Amino acid sequence: MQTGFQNLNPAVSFVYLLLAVILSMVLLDPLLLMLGLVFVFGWCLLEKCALDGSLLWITGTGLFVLLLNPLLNHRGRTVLFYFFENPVTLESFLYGFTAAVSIMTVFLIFMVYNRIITPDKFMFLFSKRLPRTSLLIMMCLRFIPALQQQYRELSGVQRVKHPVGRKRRRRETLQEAFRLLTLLFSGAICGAIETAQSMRARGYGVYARRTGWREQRLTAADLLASVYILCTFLGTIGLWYGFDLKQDFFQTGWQPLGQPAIYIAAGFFYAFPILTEGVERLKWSFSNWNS
Amino acid sequence: MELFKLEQLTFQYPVNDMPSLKDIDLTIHEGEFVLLCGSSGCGKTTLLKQMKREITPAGSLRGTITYRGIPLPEIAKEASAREIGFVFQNPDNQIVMGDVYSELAFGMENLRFSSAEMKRKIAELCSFFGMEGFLDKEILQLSGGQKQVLNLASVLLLQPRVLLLDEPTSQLDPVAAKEFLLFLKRLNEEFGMTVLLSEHRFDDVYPLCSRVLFLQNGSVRIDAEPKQVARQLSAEKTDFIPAQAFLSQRLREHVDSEAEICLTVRENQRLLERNLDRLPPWEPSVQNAEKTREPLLAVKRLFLKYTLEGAYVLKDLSLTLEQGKCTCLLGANGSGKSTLLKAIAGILKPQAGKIKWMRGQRSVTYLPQNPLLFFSFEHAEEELRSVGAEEEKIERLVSRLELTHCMQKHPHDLSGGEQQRLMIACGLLREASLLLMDEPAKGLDQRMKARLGSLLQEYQQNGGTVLLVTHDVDFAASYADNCCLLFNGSTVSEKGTADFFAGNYFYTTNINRMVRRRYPAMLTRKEVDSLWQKN
Repeated sequence: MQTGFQNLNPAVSFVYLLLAVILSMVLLDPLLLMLGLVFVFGWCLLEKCALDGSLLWITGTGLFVLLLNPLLNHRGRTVLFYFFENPVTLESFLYGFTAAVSIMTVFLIFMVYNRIITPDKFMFLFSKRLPRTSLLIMMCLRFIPALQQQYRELSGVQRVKHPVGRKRRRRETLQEAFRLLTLLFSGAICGAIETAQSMRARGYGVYARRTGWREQRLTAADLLASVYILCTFLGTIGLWYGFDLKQDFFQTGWQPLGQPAIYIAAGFFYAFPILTEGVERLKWSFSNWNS
Repeated sequence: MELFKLEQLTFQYPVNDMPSLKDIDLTIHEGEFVLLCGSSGCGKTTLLKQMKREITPAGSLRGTITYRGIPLPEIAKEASAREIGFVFQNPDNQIVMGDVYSELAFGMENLRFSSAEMKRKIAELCSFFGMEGFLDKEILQLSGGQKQVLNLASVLLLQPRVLLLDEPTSQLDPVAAKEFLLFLKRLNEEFGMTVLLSEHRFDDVYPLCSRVLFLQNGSVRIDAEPKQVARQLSAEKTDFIPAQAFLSQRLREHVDSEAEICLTVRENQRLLERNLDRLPPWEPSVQNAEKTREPLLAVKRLFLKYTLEGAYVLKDLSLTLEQGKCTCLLGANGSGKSTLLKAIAGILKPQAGKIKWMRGQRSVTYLPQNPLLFFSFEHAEEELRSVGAEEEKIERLVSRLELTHCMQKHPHDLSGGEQQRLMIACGLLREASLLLMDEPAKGLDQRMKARLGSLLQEYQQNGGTVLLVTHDVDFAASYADNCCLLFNGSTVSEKGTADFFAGNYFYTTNINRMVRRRYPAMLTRKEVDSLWQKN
């Protein structure tokens, strides 16, 4: 899908994702963060990412944080019950909830990052400044899924070759896994030698600096988007620090923030990808309608 | 103009006792299209790699090699990278980047082309190769044929003067392989690019090339025009001649003493036409069709896909394997052949459908396309002994597959053909009721293919059943009982071998193409010879 957010200049998308991560870690207010989580999750749905096993994994992490905090943190006034003679308080639950939402939002943003910042966009961003390092990072990134696939194939073939019964001792399972890993890595090293030869054969290392084929100018839409992003981000963060809106969970419990404008600013910031997509769809249907 | 000049070149790998190249004197001129052929391990790859400085293997080298009058080690780095292009055998390992466009640009980025120049060159070359369809794809989504075209294209973008290719079509299906060779021919004719190509399946290369080097034990035994090489080799009655030359040689011997050795299908058809009334009648030997045999395995309405959202790779596929028979799966790259083998082996789980085995007969050996996935020990010998077969059997197989010199080596140190043979030996020793082989004939020369064929026949006589996937039409025609074409995830044709091949354009042997007007069911060299044996 090449619409809306994906069409923006990689630099703009990268900055937006970075700012979104910062906001999600700074704004420790459950309502604000829930707002962020809902919009980021909507964005995930739009980009069709994080919908497989990773969603379960993210929720699991969130739950873990939510439950762990009250068990270790006993501050707060409203005692709900005693767990092994330790008080479990409403406030610590609230704090755990906030932290959990923050972590889940950040994870989801990383999932979208993977979808949006494709390897070639990554190279566009960094290959001019750090040509060798970015190539190295890019090759490593490619190596991981390739290795996963190779492992799947290898273990399949070896399982047919050395069939094992259902009941196995833990030690045998470990030995088997170790044997497979050894095979996998020796195979990968041999493959890497050929890749290295292919790189050298095509002139890698002739010059210290390489050039890049990508060039993408900043369009008017990119500028507009940057202004929007900066305004909403600065608005949110300005309100947060300017009015010192920190929640003091353990003293006062949760209260709505003193400046309701911050909810609007943050809402507009997080809604940005969905809005761009919506604008694009509206434009599309209007242009088709008229013609 | 002289491009390469090799003088008294001798090269020895550190692990070997014998030199891989011996006293080679050779001059390659600009604009030539040279085919390197010979049995596996004769030094084809080693010779090619000597001509590309960046990938020359470590070892002791004597003699000199010059490129356009300059000793190879002294050429400027940029000139060496730009002017001498190399396409490797394995299409996967030589790809560096994650998507097609970046891969194409990789070489040009290294040599500091400007962005506009790169885009123009890529645009131009993409139309030449018809690559527009997959330009925006990621590497993981490409088929083997597309990958190899991509490799060729990314080398060509640097505008080399000479192109060195090491068995580039060994993993391509018959259609893609022919197309690839035609690209080489066009590059040679239209741009005057010098091409050096090593190839085991050389039938289709002979009519295209301008010179053939026949290598034997590390030295050049014959170096001449293709026709002359074919003439000389057919006089010696070796297997190393293309099917076209084989047919005209037989016609010359038995029917028409004035017949020339021809290298194209069309010329041979004319030759046959001229002698039509002198050709004996021929009927395919009738196979005693015992249809009553119980199938060893029946695949019923199989559906399989790799990801939830992805398309089905196998769709409504049904297949039966008769016990004691050899069935061959053919089809384009990416049609689902390997996936079917993995499903039968039990590696992949189908989403729907059944694989039903004959009662009590469920034992299977699976030999993957990449032999390195199969090996699990440090020495070839351990690998063979681990099966637990009788000593005598191992000895016999080792000598028949010519593996004696490999026994103490690590499987990774063997050549591609040797790895393949070692895996085959292990597979045969396991004596499972079903033997699944993915591209067993890959990297094997004519002689070894014949060995493999007879070993498979013995395996069947002992009650084993064989299912193999191959792109090698000649091998399938010679040794399969049944053939099966896979297209788009299901079987479109499942027949006895003779019925299967007769009438196809691409999925048939060169022999059949030449003789089909007179003998529609004739497929193999053996059958050609049987014409005159009866009389």
